[in-house]
Amino acid sequence: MTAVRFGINGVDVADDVAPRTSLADYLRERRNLTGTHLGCEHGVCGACTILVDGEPVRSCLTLAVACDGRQIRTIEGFAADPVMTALRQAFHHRHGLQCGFCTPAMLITARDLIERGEAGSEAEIRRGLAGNICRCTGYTNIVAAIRDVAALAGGPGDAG
Amino acid sequence: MPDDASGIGASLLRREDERHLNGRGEFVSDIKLPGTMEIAFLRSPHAHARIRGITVPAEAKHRVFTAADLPRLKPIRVQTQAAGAKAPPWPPLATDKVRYVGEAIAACIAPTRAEAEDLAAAIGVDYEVLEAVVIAPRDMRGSRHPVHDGWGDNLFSERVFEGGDIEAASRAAEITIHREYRMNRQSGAPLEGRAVLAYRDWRLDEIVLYTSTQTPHTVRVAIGEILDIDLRRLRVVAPDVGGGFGPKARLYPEEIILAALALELDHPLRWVEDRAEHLLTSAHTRDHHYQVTAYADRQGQILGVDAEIVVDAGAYGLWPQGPYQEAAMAARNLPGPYQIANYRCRAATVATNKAPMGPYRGVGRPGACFAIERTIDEVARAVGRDPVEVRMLNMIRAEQMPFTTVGGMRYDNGDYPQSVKLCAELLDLPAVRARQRRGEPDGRLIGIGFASFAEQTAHGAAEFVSRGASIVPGFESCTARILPDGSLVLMVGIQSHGQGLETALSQIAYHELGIDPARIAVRHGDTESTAFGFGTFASRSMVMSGGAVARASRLLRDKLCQIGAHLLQCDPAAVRCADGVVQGPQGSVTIGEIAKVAHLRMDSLPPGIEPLLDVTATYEP
Repeated sequence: MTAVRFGINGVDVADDVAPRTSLADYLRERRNLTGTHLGCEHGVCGACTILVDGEPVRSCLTLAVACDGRQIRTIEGFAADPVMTALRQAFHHRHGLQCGFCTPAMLITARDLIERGEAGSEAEIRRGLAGNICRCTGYTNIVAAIRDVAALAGGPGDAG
Repeated sequence: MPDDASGIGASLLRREDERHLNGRGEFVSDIKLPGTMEIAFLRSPHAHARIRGITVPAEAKHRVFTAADLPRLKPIRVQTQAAGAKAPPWPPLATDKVRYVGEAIAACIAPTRAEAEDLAAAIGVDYEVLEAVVIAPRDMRGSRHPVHDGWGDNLFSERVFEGGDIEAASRAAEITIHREYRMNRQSGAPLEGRAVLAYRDWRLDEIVLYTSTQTPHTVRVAIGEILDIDLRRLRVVAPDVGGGFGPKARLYPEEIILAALALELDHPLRWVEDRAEHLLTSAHTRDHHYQVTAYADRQGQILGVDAEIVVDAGAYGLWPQGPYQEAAMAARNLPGPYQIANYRCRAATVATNKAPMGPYRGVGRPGACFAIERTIDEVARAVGRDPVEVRMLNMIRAEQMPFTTVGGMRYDNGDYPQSVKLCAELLDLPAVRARQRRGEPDGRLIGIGFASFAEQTAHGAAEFVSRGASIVPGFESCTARILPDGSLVLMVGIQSHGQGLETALSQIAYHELGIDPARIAVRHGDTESTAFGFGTFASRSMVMSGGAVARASRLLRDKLCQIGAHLLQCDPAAVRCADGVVQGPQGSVTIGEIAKVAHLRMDSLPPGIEPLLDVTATYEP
């Protein structure tokens, strides 16, 4: 076991973790943050995407011990975030989800694209979403939802 | 009666969305029960091998379960009425032989998945590797080591479909073409893999099995039969399911094994399929081989089609329908929407050393569509005409409807040639052809293709009986219960995994009863709360579950009107139920008030009317 300390959704956490435990397994099994989903566990599907120090990462490919001293943010940690709130509304109104399994990570990636000002066109959004697989929707309504919010946001904002 | 804001046809925002948008969906792997142990399966690395022995390290013996440790496990065996079809036994944990890569051999139990995988890696298996059957058309009549000992060949089933006189078509043909087509093996790949959580509920004396399935009720029936326990002692729950697409509409060995282990062990057990396991072991699909000979005249009018379809179905038959339906559906649909008069199709379903074949979007028909549409193009090429013209020439014409094709499929309406013509106009086909003749500046070749596809959905009983099915999913059910406050619960036998049925079914009840969809709950996927139903597959749930919801709602409406009329002191024929009230000539009473009487004030019920507002109805298309 290795001692780690990190922030999870703004709360400081100290824990002992087996070195081989992935960040996704740690968050889901030890912290009960089950909104982070595991679709492939080898970095392809993107369903486990979360933020570490404000950057989107694959939590299935990240070891929990490698996050010592860092800030982790999962789908459960965006309640007060205006861009996420707008994205949630837009996904709802645009029918941007069906089974819902890809949705939390899709939202985190979408928010990141908007925050970085890389959601300016459909092509840009589609390129930015290339790492998040959805098997239900065909993406059209996901892209439309992100375009709606990007148009409102109108430019890069504060990341993190 | 309904207003347009919420009823059928209105575009309601989905009630499913909120939990998923907030990461609060509940998939099997999200469910936490104290003391849960994880399972990893030791799986065969060989496509075909005899198992000579299994060595489990002494310290792991009580944490590793093989078939020998679980005598309760009986084989999965598909029943079929189809003549000459073979149905091999499929032991949930391999016994003497493994027949595909990924076949489960032992269940290994540990506090974490990683430790369970460590256990699996410590088990030794002595394999005698056999030559694998991998090429269905070559090996169907026999192979050095048949997939199933004692069969002689590798045929699950073989059937000839015939109509008209193919020999006469052959003699009359001015043009004969022969082509071979192949549609490769695919995986269903929902984003959430399969997952199972099982535990024993001592208070209720039952096994509770959470599983990521499209069909909880039939999974329960099968497990009860295989483990020989009363269904009253088995509850199957499909919570949120992260996509299905067909592969999750079948019974799997892991579900049986976890239920069996839950009977043996005093703690919950969880198995969460990883993506490698999904690709190896969840139902595969397609894998069709076609040999098609088409006879035509010089105009491109097709006189006859003589075909052979070989479906590479893998090692076993998935319960309930087995491996047979791919070939049969492909053979019946190969003539497509074309008026082909003479037809012969030999359709074989072949056992190979691959994962079992199961349903996936379209079941059998995408292969048939691909084969016939390619054939139309090839005939067009042979006679020197545009494929669009040849397509329209051969299509069933509007004035021929209803039309039964030589494959036995009935087209009831539509104008297929006109659809092709409209498509060609929308695409400005002459301009595309001109561009093709000019060539692209960068040397690329530009192609354009046409294909037509009519989708069969919500099959009724007759379709499944005609396939020789052992269970006939020809109906759906709904229990509709108005609670004492006038809110409504619909309990349905289907499972919604992205279709939005929690929203859509509430709209149907609203249409019938006028109860605001916000006051309607839709419960599905749980054998405890819902009447028997077959689940969600083959685009059936909106039609069949929707029909059951409508029928149940109408039964409730009748009772609401009877009680309402009594309370209003008028003739039941003089009232109507709309907008959440029963309206009489001189006044109205709300559904909430009627519900209160039906539950809490039976002294106010009309004579002969029983308490409760609780009905169950079924629907068959």
